[in-house]
Amino acid sequence: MLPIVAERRDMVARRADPAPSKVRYRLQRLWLTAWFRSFVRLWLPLGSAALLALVLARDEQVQAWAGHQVDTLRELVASRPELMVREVAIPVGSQDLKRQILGVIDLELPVSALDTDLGLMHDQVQNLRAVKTATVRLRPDGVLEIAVVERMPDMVWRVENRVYLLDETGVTIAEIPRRSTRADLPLVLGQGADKAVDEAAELFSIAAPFMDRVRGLVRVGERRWDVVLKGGQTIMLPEIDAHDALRRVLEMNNTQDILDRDLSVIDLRDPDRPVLRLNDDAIIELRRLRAVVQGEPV
Amino acid sequence: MTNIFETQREMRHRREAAIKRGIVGVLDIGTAKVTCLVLQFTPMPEPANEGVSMPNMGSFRVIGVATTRSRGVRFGEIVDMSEAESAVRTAVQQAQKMAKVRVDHVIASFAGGRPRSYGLEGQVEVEHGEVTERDIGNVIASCDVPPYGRDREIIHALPINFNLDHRTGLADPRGQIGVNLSVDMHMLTVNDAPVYDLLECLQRCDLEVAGLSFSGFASGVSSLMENEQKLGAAIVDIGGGTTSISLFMRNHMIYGDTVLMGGDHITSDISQGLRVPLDVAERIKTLHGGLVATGVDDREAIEVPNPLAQWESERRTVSRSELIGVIRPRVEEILEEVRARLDVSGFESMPSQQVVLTGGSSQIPGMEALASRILGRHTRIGKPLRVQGLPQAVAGPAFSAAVGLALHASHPQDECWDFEVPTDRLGTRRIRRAVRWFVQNW
Repeated sequence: MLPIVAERRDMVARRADPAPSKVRYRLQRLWLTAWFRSFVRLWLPLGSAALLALVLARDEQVQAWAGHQVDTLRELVASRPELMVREVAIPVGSQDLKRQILGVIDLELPVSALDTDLGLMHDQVQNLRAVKTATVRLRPDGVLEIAVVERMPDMVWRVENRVYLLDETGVTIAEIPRRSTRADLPLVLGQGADKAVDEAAELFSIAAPFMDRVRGLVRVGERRWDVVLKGGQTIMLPEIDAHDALRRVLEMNNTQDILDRDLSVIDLRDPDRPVLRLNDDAIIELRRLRAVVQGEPV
Repeated sequence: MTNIFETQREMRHRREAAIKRGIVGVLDIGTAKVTCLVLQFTPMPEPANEGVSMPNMGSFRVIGVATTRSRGVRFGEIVDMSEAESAVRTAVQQAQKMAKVRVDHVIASFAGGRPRSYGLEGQVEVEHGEVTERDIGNVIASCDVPPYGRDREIIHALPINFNLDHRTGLADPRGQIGVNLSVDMHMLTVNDAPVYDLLECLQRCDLEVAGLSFSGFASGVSSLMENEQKLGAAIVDIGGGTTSISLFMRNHMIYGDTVLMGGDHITSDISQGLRVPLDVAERIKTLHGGLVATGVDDREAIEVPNPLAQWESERRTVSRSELIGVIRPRVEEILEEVRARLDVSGFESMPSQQVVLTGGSSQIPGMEALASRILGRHTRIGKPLRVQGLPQAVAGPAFSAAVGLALHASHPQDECWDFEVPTDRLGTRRIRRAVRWFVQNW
């Protein structure tokens, strides 16, 4: 006997209902909604990632761990031999300056290039009084090259019992114990002399022919110069056109040997009315001579 | 009238909103299949020839198509709500999946509800000499509505012709000068229960109804050629459970009716005649069906699959002439019935006697020959217009209602609810609505 009913059940396969269930239908429609789609695909992951990052960033343990990781990585990179600075080279400059530079940058070699701050070093070197300009450069072969242009001392400046060296722009380079250590440089004195270095240099160049008589320039009242000569003679120069006045004195010297006379002061503060101040002996002599000339008794 | 009137107005607004938003669904709920099209409307400049009333076919594109076997629908009416609902869900989901967009608004067509046509007439005096929209609203409101029954609703009310004084055949009398304005309207009513069932079914699928059409009207929009619509033609949409008939003249539907017979009856005849299950009968009808028997058909044996056959000798075959002998009387019956309805409708007096057959069952070979014998010489099988993006698989006559709905959506005809009803007829209700709005919002 053939079991007909069972066979029929086998043969007529029950087909699945092709219709979507209500929930599936609604879900699909929701998924096809534009705002929902963009929310799920963009804003939800972005938002959850941001939230996660925020939570992690606020956790101290994570912060410590991250800091440690960063430090380790930095250490790893910094300790590469390619990045090591093994030598500091200062090609030009006096021994004293080199010592000063090394002292100011204070570098313990070898050090990683990542740990050196070239900008800071440049500022430090530049701030040295004796340095005019500085270039700090890290060469690829691990040499830190500091090229400096030294300030050259141009004058000696004595003020308030201290003696300094000045360069041609009036910057104080260094203090020296006494004037005689740099006897080769001309001397300026007085408060504010460093601010009028240009003028002083010009006056010195005009006075070059009788430099051996000049002891120095004195800044008076921070506005004008006195030229002090050996033997105590003083040439008082005006505030403006001092060099013309000095040239005039030189001319007078050439023609009348005025500097060899027994004068204490040649006062040219008012260029239109030069005044000569004689020494006491000279005044007596002058009066005597006048009396002789005029036939009067002394 | 007011209830469905308001609903139709609302649908009209929804359709406009949906077209503005760009995505409209079309749902043809038939007895045999449920078809869903997803239309994408793109704003396009109007064609230069404004006067020609042609569907603006460039303005939309079909981006999603799905067809599924219908369930829970008999004679175009929903008899099992949950089954019909799942069929609609299947179609809508597939179409959405293809279109990759969500469909919120659908325009539905259906063939059930025993449609009945009425011709209405209204007449008013023009208020200010020149016909304005207000006058049109007045004249439409002045129509004598016959007592069409308490359990029936209006689904179409088309003003098909305006007369101004002695001039007739005006499509749009606005701006013209005259005294007496009268209108001829075509009103189509259906039983209200199937309509409410349909609305309920779509609501259960989370769809908003943006329009409701009689399927014969939709088929006519898609399958009749322009001159046929203008000169007059009958469209016969032989569907699964019903055959919809509608007459078109001057670009308007002037008559609509259904015959409650269709392809499913042919299938059940085959099933009974050849003693095979319904799905096998459907298959035999589709593959081997025919209407005109010739000598060759006697010799052509069709194997009838028999699930109980165990041995070679138990195989059964029928000749094709036998099959034709089963199919033909039923098709003849359908066409005779169509003929009778056309006779009632006054098709005889129409200037053109063109009959266009469409729908799934019109594809039976020999249909044209048989139909021309019964319905008249000018008979042809109509296929829907080609629309952009429609796959070849759904371009056949079976889909003329769906395509027609799509065309109708892109180029809607004015119905009476598109015109403003004069305030004196709606006055109290207006105030009541305003009060209700205040109550609801505060």
